[in-house]
Amino acid sequence: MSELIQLGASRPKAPKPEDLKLQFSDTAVAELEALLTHYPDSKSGILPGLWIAQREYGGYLSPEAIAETAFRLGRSYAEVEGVATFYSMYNTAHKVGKHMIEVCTCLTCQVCGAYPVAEYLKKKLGVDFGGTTEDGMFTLHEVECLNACDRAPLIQVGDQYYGPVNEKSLDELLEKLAKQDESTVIQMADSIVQVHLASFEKPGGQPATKPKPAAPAPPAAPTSTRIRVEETS
Amino acid sequence: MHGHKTFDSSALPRALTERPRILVQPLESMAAVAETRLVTITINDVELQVPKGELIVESVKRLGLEIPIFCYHARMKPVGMCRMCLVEVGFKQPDGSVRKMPKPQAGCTLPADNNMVIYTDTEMVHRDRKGVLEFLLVNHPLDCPICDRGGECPLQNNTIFYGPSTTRFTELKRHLPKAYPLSQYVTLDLERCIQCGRCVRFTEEISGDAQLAFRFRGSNMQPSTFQLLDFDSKFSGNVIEICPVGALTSAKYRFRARPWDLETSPFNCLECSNHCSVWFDHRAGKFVRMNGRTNEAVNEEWTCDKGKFGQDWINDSNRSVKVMVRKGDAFAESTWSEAYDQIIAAFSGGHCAALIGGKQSNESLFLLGKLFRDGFKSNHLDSRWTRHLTDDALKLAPDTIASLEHKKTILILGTSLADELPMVFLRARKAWFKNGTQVLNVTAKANEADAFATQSLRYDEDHEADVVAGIRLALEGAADDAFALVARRAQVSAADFRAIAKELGPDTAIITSRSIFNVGDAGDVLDGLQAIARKTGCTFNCYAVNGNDAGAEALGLIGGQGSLNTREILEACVNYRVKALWLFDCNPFDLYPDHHLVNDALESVAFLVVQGSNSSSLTPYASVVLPSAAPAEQDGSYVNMEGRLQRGKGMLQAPGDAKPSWRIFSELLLRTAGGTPYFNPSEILQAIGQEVPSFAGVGDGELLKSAVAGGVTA
Amino acid sequence: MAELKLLFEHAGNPAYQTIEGYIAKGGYQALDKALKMERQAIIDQIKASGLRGRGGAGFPTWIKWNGLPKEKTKRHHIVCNADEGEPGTFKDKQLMEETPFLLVEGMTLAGIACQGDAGYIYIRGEFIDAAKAMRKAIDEAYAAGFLGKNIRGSGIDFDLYIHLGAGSYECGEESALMSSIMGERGMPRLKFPHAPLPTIAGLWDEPTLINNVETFCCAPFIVNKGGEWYATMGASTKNSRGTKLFSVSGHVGKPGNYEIEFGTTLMELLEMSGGMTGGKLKACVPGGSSVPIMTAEMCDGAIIGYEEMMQAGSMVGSGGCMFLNDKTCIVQFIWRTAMFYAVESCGKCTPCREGTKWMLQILERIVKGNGQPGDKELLLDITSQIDGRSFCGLGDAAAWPVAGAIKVFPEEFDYYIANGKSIVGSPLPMVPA
Repeated sequence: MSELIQLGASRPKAPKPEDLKLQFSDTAVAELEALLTHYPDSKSGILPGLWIAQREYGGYLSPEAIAETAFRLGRSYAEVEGVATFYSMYNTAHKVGKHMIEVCTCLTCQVCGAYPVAEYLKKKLGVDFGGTTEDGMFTLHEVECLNACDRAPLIQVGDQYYGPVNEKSLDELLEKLAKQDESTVIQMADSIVQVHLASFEKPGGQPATKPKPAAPAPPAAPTSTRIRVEETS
Repeated sequence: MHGHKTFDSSALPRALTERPRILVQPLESMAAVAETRLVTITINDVELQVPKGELIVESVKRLGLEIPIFCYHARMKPVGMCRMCLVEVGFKQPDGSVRKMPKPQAGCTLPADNNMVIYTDTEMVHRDRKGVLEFLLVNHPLDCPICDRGGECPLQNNTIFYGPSTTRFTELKRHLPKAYPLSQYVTLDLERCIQCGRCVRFTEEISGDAQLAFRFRGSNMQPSTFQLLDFDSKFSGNVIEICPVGALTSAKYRFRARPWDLETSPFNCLECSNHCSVWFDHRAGKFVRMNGRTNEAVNEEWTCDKGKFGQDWINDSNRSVKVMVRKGDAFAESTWSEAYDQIIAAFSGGHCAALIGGKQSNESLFLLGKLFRDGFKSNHLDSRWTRHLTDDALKLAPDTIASLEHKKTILILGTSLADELPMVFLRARKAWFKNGTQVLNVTAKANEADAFATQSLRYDEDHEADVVAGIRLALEGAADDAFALVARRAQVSAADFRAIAKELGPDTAIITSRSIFNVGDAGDVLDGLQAIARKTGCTFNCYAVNGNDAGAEALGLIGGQGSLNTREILEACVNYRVKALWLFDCNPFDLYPDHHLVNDALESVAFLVVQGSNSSSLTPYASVVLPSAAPAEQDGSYVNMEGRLQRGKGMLQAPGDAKPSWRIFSELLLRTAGGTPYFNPSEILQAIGQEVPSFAGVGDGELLKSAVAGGVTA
Repeated sequence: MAELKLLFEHAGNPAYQTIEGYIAKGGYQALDKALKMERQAIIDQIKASGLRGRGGAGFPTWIKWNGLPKEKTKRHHIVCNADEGEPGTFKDKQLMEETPFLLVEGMTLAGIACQGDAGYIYIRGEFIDAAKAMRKAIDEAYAAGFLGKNIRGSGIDFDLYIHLGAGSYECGEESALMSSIMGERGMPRLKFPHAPLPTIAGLWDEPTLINNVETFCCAPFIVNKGGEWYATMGASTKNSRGTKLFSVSGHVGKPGNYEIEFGTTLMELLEMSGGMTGGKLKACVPGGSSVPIMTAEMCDGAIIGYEEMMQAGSMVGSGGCMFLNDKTCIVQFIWRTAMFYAVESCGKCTPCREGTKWMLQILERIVKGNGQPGDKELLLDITSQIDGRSFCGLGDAAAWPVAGAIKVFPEEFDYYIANGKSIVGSPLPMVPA
């Protein structure tokens, strides 16, 4: 840093497009192309594009990942970085572990004991919020409301919610995750990419034609006008 | 409602309450005035008519009022981020009562509409302003005493007028990098930033490079380049000026002066042929900095980095300050009269010539021409340095910078506009951004205009003539095989030629620059472009690139019966037909592509006058060195690439013995041709007006009427 | 009143999450009806139903539907706001996971009524299960000809896309949501009267209809059974019709989503969800974290309805109802609320960006035992400088809970500031160690 603070020092330049080391796989490129058909312009592809990048770059949106996304969408690096750093689910700040434990401490979780859960996790993993265990297995994060408050205290790992959690269930979960081969961080990014794409849009999936419309009107099912139910399931 | 007291109209100045209906011409501003239909609004109980859709922040100016702002900038889309401009708004009801909106509204985003009632001076408005300023200051370092912006800082000013006098903030302030060098010109202080987004919007909306963006969010939000890497823009200096705090400061001006110590004068930048209007700030006789000055016809209010940061040479330690005369092998300080004697001896008799650099005033050039023709009996003068030199008469460029805004299509051919004609670049981009003009960028190399061009066509370097031929073929509807040769040479397909050709029409402007004379077959390029212009009815502009080149051409200094051009002059030096050469503020080694020829010429010529404001590597060749004043050190007029005549006033003292060039020529003219000497540039301009047809009757800031720079005759 | 299950009638039934099961339970009858109706007639049914936006603001839905140009010159977009982020709310999540076809059909109906070309469901990034359920439903609807080109032979085309957020509460604000779909930072855009309504110039400057998940899910019932039928529900309230989903959480026996008819009381809702646990009712945040907190006394007799809740001193909001027992420290609860808004403020406007941070700094100091005399008044002053001054509603939403809590629980703040500790001893720590 100190050498940068020298006034008048020549600053390192952003990489030229031709100097980028492109890492998107063929599938990723095809997915991005399919995604862009959803929108009238390439700018709208920035959010899903960054999800693809997060998966392709191993769960971490490095500057290179952001630059590649920008390059592929024909946007400026700064613009895409601005978008990536705005949203909390893009991991732009630092490389994350294989699994990210996201602890909700917001309101309902707070009053239902999220902070003791967080303390337990901090102690067990030996890291603070934002930290990654030395073996690179777990990153611990505090997040805002995950909106499944009926299950407070709640945590999210990958694309799964777990709650209500307690010390015992956390122990079991961490043990299970430690044995798991697949990174839940990458798997989550992939899940998000996949839900953007209809089955007929997925590269290498079903044939790329939209199914034909047809089918006669469905049989009318009898419905009562007002339904009262005593008990929730 | 918030229970504040109602507005008291008796508090208004009488003059305003007595003139209830005011009709004013629409203010020129990008954000305002979409329609010309007038609506009636009421501001602080004064009823007035304004164009429908005009932003309230502009409307209040019609009453001489002001709404404080930070994020609003008239040339950029309003965003309403800073909330400094909150006003109370209501709507007049049919029964005459006013229904106020429950929340205060941002005046910078609110378009005027019928029956709108605005209050800018209520207790609530004052409280809101105070509140916003308190918020802005809680994380501001308040390091005004060491901030370059101090003294001319909108945050400082607004705080003094509208802000709280003390702070209630006792928490820790946000700490971020200070004095961070974002580029060689721009220093970023993130602690001072108030996140108004002006700089970000400038790069997105005006310069178009989108190199700045906000990173992070909430209270961590900060404007930054990608990864805080180099802010590599050709227009970065503008963000320093539009920053309403000291977050973006000039690395060159940093800590060099306080604004109240500066003297400022209007000036025209001469770094290229656009002649941007600028403020020239100087202190104790030294240049300090240059800022944009509003001129809707030329630069609006912007500057380019080349001009803004390219003025240091005025303060250089290698300024030429002494008259020097060669005595044998030695070089000695001398007097003007001794130098004049030697010059007259060497130049009289006609075997002499002059080569001219770019930044000379019309007055100097006019007298130089007179001196050579009447005093030295020679008409060998040239200011052109391109590979090819045409003797065609040069005609007025049909399109002014401002008129480009309303073109349907702009075809850029063979020039990187952002480098050569920065203000034409900004105008072309504005045309695209604001009016949907389609821009076709046909250049050998990628450049900034690609970012907004609807079509970018690349070709093999130095094959402009083939590209033009290809477009002509496409216009003529030629078959594919007719393109074979040009397509192969230029590496452009027939389809690409057709795609360009199909967009050309009467509303098209073709833009190229004088640097097109550096390419092979420049003559064919020009002929071809003119033929295209004739065929499609579009306009064709070949803009001058350097300093006052357009002025030199308009004065008729160049060309003419039997005169030699730059190349011929240099060749004539080599074979001793030219025995005395005058280099007027130019270094041929920097300007002319053939260095061998230059070297041979300078070594061969018997007598060489090197006149200029800075000493240069040419001194060893010189017989006489004459120090002359810089543009900022003398009065003079200049003609830009659209033929606009603008006058500049000298504000600095020329160093040492240096004299304004016109005075040198006037003194020599008196010693050779005699007659009445000219005593000041105004007299000379008057004479120009009388003697040069294209200058006849032209006043300050006006376009020359005929036969000026720019286009080329058909 | 007890629960009234309309949207949730088949929630939890896996068959209902397949297109066959959905059709078997009466699904897509509304669509077939709508295809035979005049476009305006559909909007008239929505009008007759008295349906109001379920996202939090309660804006009459038909006005939006009616606001898109009838003479179509540009593409029209139908957007579903499924960026459920309001703390305490989780109804849209369950709707998408368990009744996905209701949303698909609802949006298709809007597409028919408003001449929509494409629909975008903006789901918050964390809701991957919900997004998967929607994906499956949309794929099935495409395959069965209920989406895509020439829907059910009607000649009408309608595409439905899913767009996931990436972690930003602000994107639940409709203009910020549009920014986010358009690939920008999730910052709000200029609103009327500063700019045209989204129904005129929304996504990509084209007419856009934006409704909440629950709002769209109501549409099939209204179109199928008529607006007047729908309006019979909630008729006891001033201006709230139909059913409303409430997400009940906090110190209650059976936290979860409960569908009730407008006019039900807050205490009935509490009873449905199993009553208080761990202590007596102390406070309730009835409509998501943004609405003013209510004391037990205020809850007593409060009727659920847009106007009725305002009378009771709070709002229906998004229906995220948090009941807090008497072991809850309000100061710490408000500190966490303030933290939420400070973290989620987009940073666009000064009052919200700086004000939420400042409030958090003060509350953090108080919670750590370093409160100073005057802090309470300063907080109130800051809230008044944010409320109504910010660019979008997030600023207001950040100010109300703080101002509201200080107003109704002043003694808790006074005690905390004076003694450096909470007036209540919570069995579970509510702040980090």
